[in-house]
Amino acid sequence: MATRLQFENSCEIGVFSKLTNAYCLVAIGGSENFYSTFESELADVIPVVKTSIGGTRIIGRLCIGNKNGLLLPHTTTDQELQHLRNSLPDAVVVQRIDERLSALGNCIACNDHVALTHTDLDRETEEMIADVLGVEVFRQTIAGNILVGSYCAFSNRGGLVHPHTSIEDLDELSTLLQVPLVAGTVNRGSEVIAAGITVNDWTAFCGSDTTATELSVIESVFKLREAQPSAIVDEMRKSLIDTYV
Amino acid sequence: MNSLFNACSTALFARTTSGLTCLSRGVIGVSWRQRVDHHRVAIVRAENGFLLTRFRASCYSTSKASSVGKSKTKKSESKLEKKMMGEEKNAFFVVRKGDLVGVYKNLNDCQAQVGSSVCDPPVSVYKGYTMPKEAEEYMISCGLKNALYSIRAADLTEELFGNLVACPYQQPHFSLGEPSSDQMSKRRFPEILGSQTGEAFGLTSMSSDSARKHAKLEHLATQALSTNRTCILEFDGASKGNPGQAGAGAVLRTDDGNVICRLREGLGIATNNVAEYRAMILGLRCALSKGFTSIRVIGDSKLVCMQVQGLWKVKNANIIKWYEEAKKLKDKFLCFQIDHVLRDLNSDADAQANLAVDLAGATTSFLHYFAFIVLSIVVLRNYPCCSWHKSLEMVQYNFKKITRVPTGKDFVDITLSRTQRQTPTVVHKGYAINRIRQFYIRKVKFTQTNFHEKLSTIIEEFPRLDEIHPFYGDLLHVLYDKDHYKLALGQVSTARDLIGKIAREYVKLLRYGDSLYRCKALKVAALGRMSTVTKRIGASLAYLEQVRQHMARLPSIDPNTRTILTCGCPNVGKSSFVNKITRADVDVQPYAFTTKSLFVGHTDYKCLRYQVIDTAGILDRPFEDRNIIEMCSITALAHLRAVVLFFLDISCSCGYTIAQQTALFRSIKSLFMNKPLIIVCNKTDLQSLDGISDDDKKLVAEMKSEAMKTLVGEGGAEVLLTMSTLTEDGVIAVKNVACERLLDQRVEIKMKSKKINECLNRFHVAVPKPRDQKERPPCIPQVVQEAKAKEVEKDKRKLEKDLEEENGGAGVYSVSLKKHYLLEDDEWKDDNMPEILDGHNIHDFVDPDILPRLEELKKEGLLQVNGEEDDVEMDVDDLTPEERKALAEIRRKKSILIQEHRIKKSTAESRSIVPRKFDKDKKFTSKRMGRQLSSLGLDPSKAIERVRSKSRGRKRERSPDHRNVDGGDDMDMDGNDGSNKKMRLRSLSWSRSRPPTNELVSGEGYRDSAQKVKARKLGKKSVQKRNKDARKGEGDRVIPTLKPKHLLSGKRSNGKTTRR
Repeated sequence: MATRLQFENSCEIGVFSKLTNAYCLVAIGGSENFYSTFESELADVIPVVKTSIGGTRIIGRLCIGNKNGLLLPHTTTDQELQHLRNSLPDAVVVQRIDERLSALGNCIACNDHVALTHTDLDRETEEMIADVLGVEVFRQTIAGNILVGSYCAFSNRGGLVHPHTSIEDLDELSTLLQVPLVAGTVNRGSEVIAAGITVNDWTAFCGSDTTATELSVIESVFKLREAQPSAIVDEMRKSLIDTYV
Repeated sequence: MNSLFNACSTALFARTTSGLTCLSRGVIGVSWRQRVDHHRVAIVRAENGFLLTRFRASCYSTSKASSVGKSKTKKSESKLEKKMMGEEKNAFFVVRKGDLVGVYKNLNDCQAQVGSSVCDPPVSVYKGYTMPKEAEEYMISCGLKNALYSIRAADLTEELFGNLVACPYQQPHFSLGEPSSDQMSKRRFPEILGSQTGEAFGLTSMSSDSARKHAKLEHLATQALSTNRTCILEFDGASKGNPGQAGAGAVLRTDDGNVICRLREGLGIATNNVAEYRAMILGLRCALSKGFTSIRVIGDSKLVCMQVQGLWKVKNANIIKWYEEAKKLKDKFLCFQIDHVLRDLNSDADAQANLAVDLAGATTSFLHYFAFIVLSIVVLRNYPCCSWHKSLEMVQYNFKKITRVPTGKDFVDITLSRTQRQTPTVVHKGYAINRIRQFYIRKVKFTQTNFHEKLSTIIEEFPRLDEIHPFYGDLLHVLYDKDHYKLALGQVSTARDLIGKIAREYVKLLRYGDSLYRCKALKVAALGRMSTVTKRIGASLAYLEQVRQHMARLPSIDPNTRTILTCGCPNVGKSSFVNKITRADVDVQPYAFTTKSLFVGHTDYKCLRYQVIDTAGILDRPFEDRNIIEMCSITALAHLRAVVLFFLDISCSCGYTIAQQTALFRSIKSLFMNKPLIIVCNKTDLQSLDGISDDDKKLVAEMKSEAMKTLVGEGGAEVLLTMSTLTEDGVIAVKNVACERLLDQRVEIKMKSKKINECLNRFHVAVPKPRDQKERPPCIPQVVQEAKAKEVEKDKRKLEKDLEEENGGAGVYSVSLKKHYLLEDDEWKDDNMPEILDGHNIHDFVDPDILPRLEELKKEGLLQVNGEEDDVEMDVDDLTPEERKALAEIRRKKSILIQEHRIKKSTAESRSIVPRKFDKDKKFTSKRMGRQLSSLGLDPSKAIERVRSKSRGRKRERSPDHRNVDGGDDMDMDGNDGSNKKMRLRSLSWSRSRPPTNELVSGEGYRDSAQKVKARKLGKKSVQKRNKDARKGEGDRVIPTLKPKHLLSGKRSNGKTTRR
């Protein structure tokens, strides 16, 4: 089920939160509204943790993780690291890495099995990703963009990528990731997918600008609420054509 | 509002009685040379003093004017004539509507086509006689439909129909015009009416005044041409990309600058230079065909200009061909001149070229402005439809932001008070005359600028009816009358120019003003005249303000989005339906015309938003008789690409029988063309569809079959639906079918567009191909799955938000981040952990795995047992008594030292800390050391010796000679001789260069060395004092200010005379 929300009047909620199958990180905001939206959806199932990373609120863009682990950039302070270690279950390995490209969320995209990374990432970082997150790592671009983490969002059940991704690229990526993929937008036409949506295997949160059409595409491709990706080519096709063309 | 309404309806009436238009042709013809772009506004002041507004109608008549002339005396005759019109022998009518050109045999047929346009749409009707044989054959080849032909506008050529005459399509109405206006126009143009029997010109059956007028004009024009065969050609080419989609544009002008025609040609893919050449060739050909012998060509392409003049070489193979052709054409003129101008002086041609880019390859279109040319060839108003579509796609029609238009009086007050406030106000007679002049010139100019700005904002902010979407264009026309609107804006514009002119004039006069009084008088006059001009357009301003207020309240309809339109007779339940499916809350009352304007609501279907427009009811009556309320509906029907719901009240409780409603349907049938149409039978709670009489059933079936025609693709969808807005039976079904039909149509259109190819990837779901055997299951916690399966409402958890609310709201409530820590012991949560301890960052020493590793090591037995570890604490019990004593002594001594140190420290505030080596108290002497050492039972001699050897000693003792004398017991000094010699050598070396100080040197002037010594001594003594004063030399002296000015000059108060 997809929920629409805002972080302090910003629809880029993927910037201020990080959702995985084992935990959810939320930026510390002025009020508890943002946190509570996640809390009401998730708190019974997984820990929802308020944190900052390197003193900033853009945690979604700085860290990367899945149910196995969490990688933090070198800007993370010791206290934040300790806070996260205390807050997350022991099964989740929290690791700070010395990578020059410190916006890990922008450079890496992953689910519990596969990760796509920025092409210029260090070899050590790559190994670290494979070890800590327990994934296969592929260096890739999405529609010519090297910031793979920004331009796609995928779970173990499906994925949404940059709207300009060609059909061949889509098929190739889908085979790499082993999940169905669709090219689309969030937040009323925003190409920066990961900024507008944060998703795990059973729920998704997207920016409040997201249109009904976009939301239904999201629900279908991530198989939320028993929807199937095939709906995009069947029932929703006409609506999509009328919206996009 | 009411008054506006009245004003509009009278204006509308004036519009519909546009028979006047034709009568005033003569005047227009005369004023044609001062072209005001497309729509000419000529103001005719009639004798009884009220204003008549005229604009160029797009249809001209051949025979109507005569009927007007007669109508006053014989109304029956006009009817007869009307009948005749339809059956006139050999006559045919060419109707151009958008992209289609139709040919009709009689007027009634073509009126049906024309009916859909509200006022001044792109429909042009022309009349011709005896269609050429070839044309007929050609038409047949294109397809014969219902005894009328239709071809695509693109296939139309000039010669196809022979001579054509523009023709009105509202024939019958003109003869029934308002008698008074008839009378008036008769008075105005007696010469036209009087010369009814004049001889016929050119065209076969010309009996009309206006046509004759044209013919005269043509005659005159050709005469003019034959005497003066010079023209100006402006050309420009445009290409999107180089090479890319290109177009050529040219403007042909007479030598006095009037536009003869504008030409444009689509070129397909071409380079910019080719486009420029083609543009010039296009223009030259046209000029030749019009018989001009002398031409002046103006273009902004340096290349073309230079090459045609022969100054530059032509190298490019592509261009050579066109260059040759241009040269051939050039040679055909008696006089040819080509000039290169800057781009902005060539904007007209540039505009044409840019329009031409959108034309298909090899399409030429002509836009002619002279009446005689209009008559001789078919005008193709080939504005590419898509161009405004593209440019206006993103335009939001928001008329709410237009600034308020002040009344004439306010306008003057505002501007003059501004001048008063913002320009200097003080001037003296005695000032230089130039200054006085400048003072008043500034006032005049400032006032003019303010007027100009204010009037310009009005002109710019009000939408131009030709530039906005035709729907809004027509709606505004219906509501406010286009003529009146344009006239008002035109008057504002004229006023602006007039004020500019006044200002210029008076500034010129002011430059010759010879006194303050005269300058002031001139300023007063200038400002007064400007005010008068403004006051005079007071009526226009008041009208514009009313228009502005009304426009701000128009519903914001987006003409390009998905739209559902309701229509039908009054009181059939249109508004109830809109209320049911949207939240528009339209007023519903049981009487006709409850809805007086357009209302907009929105509804959702399949994730898309649909705009539902509720229109007012339409009555079945001639187009011209319709009132404004109906015209709004008609406008919406005509221009919005929407699905149309025709409401049919089958219970007839609305006061109209089914037959009447069907008649209405038939009369507005043409408006439904190309739109999905659904017949909705409403009020089934009163009368079921099956229960109506057979006749009515037939009528309904007829409508259904009509609606079926609008179906696109396979006829799967329903076109006849029943519902009851009272019981809400079938309302949703109607909505769904309507939305579906519209969506289908839009999708079908969009599938054909080019843009679909860019988006194909977005309708594609990439399904993964298996690449290995690995299972990659999703990870959904059990809790979620269970919750999903159960679908039970879980008890609401107390959220942080609620806590925040309870504890003072955002900004006050602050929650501990440690609240949800997952630790082994919950009590640890609130433990404080220091960040820095003993100067060390604790986290540098934290090893998260320390405990497990410790365990591991222990298991492996690598850790030593506790007892074997080094114990830092000494065990006192193991010591011997002596050792214990020594230990005690050590400790005691230590404590004493510490205490001493502390005492010293506590009283040391005033004393500086002196390093020990200076040993002020002479505490640390070698003697004392010897004493202490010997008290400890040690032999101090060696230590003392060592210390003494280290001490500096007296000067003599330090000298190397002395050491030698000592007997050389120094350990460092073996090999004495060598080193001594060396040192001596070194000490001598620097003084070898000069003589010893006391030695007499010739030339110094001393008698002997004794004298020299004495002199040196004296010299040293003399500088002793100076050196003591730390002076540099003799010149280093200060003379203080002996008489400080501040003390000794001016008036002084007490205590100033003495000097510190």
